[in-house]
Amino acid sequence: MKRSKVISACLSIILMLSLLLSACSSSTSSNGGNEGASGEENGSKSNEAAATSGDEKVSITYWNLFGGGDGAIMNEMVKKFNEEYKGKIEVKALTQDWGQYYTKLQTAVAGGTAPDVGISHTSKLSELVELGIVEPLDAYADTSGVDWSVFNENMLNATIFDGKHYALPLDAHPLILYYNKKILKDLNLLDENGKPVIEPGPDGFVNFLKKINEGIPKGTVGMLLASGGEDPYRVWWALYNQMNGPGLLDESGKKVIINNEQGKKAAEFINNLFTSGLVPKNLQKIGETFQAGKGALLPTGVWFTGTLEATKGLEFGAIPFPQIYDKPATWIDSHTLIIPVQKKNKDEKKIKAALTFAKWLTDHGAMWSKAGHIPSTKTAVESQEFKNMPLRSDYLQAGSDGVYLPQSPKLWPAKDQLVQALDGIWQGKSSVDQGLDNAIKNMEKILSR
Amino acid sequence: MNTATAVSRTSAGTAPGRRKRKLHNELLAAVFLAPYFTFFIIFSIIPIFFGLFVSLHKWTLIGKEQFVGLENYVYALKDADFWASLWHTTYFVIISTPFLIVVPFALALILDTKIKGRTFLRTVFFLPNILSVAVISFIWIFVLQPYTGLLNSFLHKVHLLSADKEIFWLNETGLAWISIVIITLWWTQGFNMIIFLAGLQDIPVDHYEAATLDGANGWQRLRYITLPAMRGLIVLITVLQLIASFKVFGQVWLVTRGGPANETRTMIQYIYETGFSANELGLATAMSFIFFVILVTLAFLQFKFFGGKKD
Repeated sequence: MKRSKVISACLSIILMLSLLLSACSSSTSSNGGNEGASGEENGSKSNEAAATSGDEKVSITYWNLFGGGDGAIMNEMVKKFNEEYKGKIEVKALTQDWGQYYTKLQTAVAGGTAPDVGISHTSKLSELVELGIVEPLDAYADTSGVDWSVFNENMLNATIFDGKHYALPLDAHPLILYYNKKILKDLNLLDENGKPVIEPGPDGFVNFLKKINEGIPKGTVGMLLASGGEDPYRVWWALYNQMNGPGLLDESGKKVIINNEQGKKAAEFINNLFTSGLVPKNLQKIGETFQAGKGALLPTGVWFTGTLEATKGLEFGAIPFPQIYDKPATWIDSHTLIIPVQKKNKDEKKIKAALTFAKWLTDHGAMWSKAGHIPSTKTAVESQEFKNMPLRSDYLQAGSDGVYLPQSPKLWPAKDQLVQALDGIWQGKSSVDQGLDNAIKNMEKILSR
Repeated sequence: MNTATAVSRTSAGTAPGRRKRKLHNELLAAVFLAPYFTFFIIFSIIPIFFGLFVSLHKWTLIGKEQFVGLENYVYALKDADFWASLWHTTYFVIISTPFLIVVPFALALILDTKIKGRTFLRTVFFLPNILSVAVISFIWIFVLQPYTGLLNSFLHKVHLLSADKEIFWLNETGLAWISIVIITLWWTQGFNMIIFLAGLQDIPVDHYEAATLDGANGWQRLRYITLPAMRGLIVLITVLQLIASFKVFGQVWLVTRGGPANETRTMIQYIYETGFSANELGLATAMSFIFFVILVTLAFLQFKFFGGKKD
């Protein structure tokens, strides 16, 4: 009995090992096969290239996180680039799922299989720089023809760490204000240029909103601002900075400094919108509601422009988020192009090709702004193609007025805690003071690790 | 002659023959079990021990940074948010598990009788189970959201809710928990129901016939035949359900995001956020181990105290 058990155990182990080994061997062989196949493909293509240009073709991989309309436009741009650089550079684009993108990027760098060029949000860049997975670009920029001076300063500065460039900003996507032209026109709230007439100051904005709420038909919402999640937090950040708030973090990057006059005032202004009923609480599907023409105002990011333009029968306009307090300011973030660190086979040719591609994308920002984003370069902003596009010029200024979140490697998880704490205020669970205290407590816990 | 030799051959070779056959059977079993065990070892056993190793380090998605000993465990045990999210999960288990046992059991009892259309009903009650967590979450958001949601609109229509009022099913902590329990019940009870149904069908009919002859009424038959016969299964389902409920994550994440103000944040969500958002895989793994120990202890106690009497 005992012996047979031992025998069967041994047998099963042997079986397992043999399975494992065979699995390994088959995977290596299939890998080899793949490599061979792709090598062949490359070979034949580079032969073609050699026949046409005489140069060796460089093939690079490009990871991005653009879905929906953004994704379609980005793929179009990659296609156009590949046509222009036929025989010289070939970009293979791979769109990763948004939610998994950064996890995959980090593990790919760790495993030595990083893409040659990738996308990072400006707000995520500090974390990637801290982890040492993005290349500083200064050593390669000149030889690849990258000219930093054409970039919008506000957007570029947010991507510089310790005086080194780590990314080429591709765009900026600030929080702006969309408005339904038809509804506001019917209420006589548009000026001759079709822009909404908002009196200055917090009372001015509240009066504007009151007028809308009084005039609109039943079932339509004055301002589509959710009382939870990212949007009210972005409005809070905009107002906080309009009052010259001292920022999110102190110089050490470990202390959160928002529990001050400006932070409270901004939170109170937003909270009053909900408690006074000017904005209904817990609105859902705000984007869809605006698309259906059932909302007069919608504060959200510029990425919505493309979608709204594709909505039939919707007459809308867009302006930078209005100046309610002392100076214009709004929430902003960017997509940037980064060169991930290659643990194995670092190839300067590929880095240069990647930078050439990145520069090309930023130069052709007008194409990218079809999605709604604000281009990052003068080249793009001054191009006729951009000027011909409707709406974008109306909110262009927001790209320079927007205030980026500070550089901190723990910014994203800390920001999530800020959002949760502010939600507590909007939901009436905590007072403004308590809410900001909670935010500080929970954010500092993360920042101090 | 033929039969005689056959008989003598078998009788002569009894002991080695049996052993041979046994070996053959075991070999065969090993062949069939090997694929599972391969995966089990590669994707469960090795990662568990590797996880133990990770939990003793400061570890990011990039890899190991430094050895920190038990620091991660100490930090987790001192972390108020860890305990808060553990409590949220426990709270969910306490309020959801009774429903997730009683409702499927009752449904199984009903569907075990000879009512009309029972195959259809079985399908209907089981169907939500095959849907993915994303699908059921969005269905329920559609039902429960304010202003345009199905439920509030219905309540407005029948004047149970005045027109200018809204119930925020997903945004107020208490209501959000009720919603999550309803969603989970609707989604997962079908599985338990099917198991109960199979168990009910295993109870010999003559037990009931004998009891009926002795004058037992419906309640007595349930109390003295069905429940004792189902005892083992009920314990099993309870344990499985407890473990499943403790692992709650997907539907809460998709429906409330752990909000408002982290008040529905579950253990798994907190572990996930710590690992993949705050990039503290070492700490997240340590939390997972603490959680794992709690679950194992619970399952053990459950079997010891409720599964003790074997039939």
